Amino acid sequence: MRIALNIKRTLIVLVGVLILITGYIYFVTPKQIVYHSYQWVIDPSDDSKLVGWAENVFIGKVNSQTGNKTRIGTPETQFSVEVLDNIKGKLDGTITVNQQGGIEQGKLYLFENDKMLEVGKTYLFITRYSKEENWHTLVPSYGDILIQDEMQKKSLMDRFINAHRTQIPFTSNQ
Amino acid sequence: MMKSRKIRFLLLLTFALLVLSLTAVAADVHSLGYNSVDANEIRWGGSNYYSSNRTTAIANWNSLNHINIAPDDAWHVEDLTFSDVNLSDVTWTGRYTHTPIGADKIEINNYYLNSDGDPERTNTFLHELGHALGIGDHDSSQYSSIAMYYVQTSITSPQSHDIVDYNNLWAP
Repeated sequence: MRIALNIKRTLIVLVGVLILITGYIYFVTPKQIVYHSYQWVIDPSDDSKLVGWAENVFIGKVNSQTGNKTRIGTPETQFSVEVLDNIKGKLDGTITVNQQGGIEQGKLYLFENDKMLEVGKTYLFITRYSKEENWHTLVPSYGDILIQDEMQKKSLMDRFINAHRTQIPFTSNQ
Repeated sequence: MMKSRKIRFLLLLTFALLVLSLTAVAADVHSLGYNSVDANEIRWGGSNYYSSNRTTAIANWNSLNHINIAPDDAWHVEDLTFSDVNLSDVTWTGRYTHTPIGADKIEINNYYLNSDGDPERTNTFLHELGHALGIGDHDSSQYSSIAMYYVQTSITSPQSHDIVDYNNLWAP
């Protein structure tokens, strides 16, 4: 009798855990995600190459989302960002940062699984400017590093100041 | 009492193994989990400026025999559409997009290909077609000499690890 009761209790706990996991996946995951897989022109895990490719590396705070634009068939999302510290290049005031990806017709488009920027948060940005669009496009995943605290900010700045010193300017892969 | 503990332990062990096996499947990054293949074929449409590099890349995947990549015609539904773009503010040379409905897309960024050599151009087409075949990116530097390495190289045909991944997906 007692054994049966224990098995029943364990089964109830297991079923409960499974329901919680399934519920979490169902509610947290968007209904339809469109993934892009792409080939990089530089090795983004190499800071010197990444900074060498970029025009600007800076710390900035996301003030608001300012737009959505579909470029070559996929959504891109624009944010108003206040520049706090420059590491490469000289930006000041508030600029438009463009993130490839966004939501269109209920579908979430993700580039390299890069999470969408969050308003009010501060990031280290690695970007290139588009004259046609007048925005600074960030490098997915590697070019929008969330800053959690002052210590991490200092360590990130040291890392990328050093990468700027040792940068490998981008040339074609020929 | 002992029997009850044993049964409870076995139930927990089964549950843990189930969770572990699900995690292992999710971590198999060499397969994308989606592709553009329809009845052992990829029927493609669209156009590219560097069409000869596309032709070479298609021929090199077709030499592996299991999936036929062929131009679209009146009798087939288009599975994959090629096009060119010219973007200087992005880090990609080529991009594969899988959509649940309609043809998937391969976009080639001529901003970079215009200054590339012939092998690098072929490599970009080969790599993106690898995605259309369902093979994922390989980020580790140990794979820097294969077609599916995540950064552009001068590799122009599938290498032994690419062939293993291809056969895992498509060999009968």
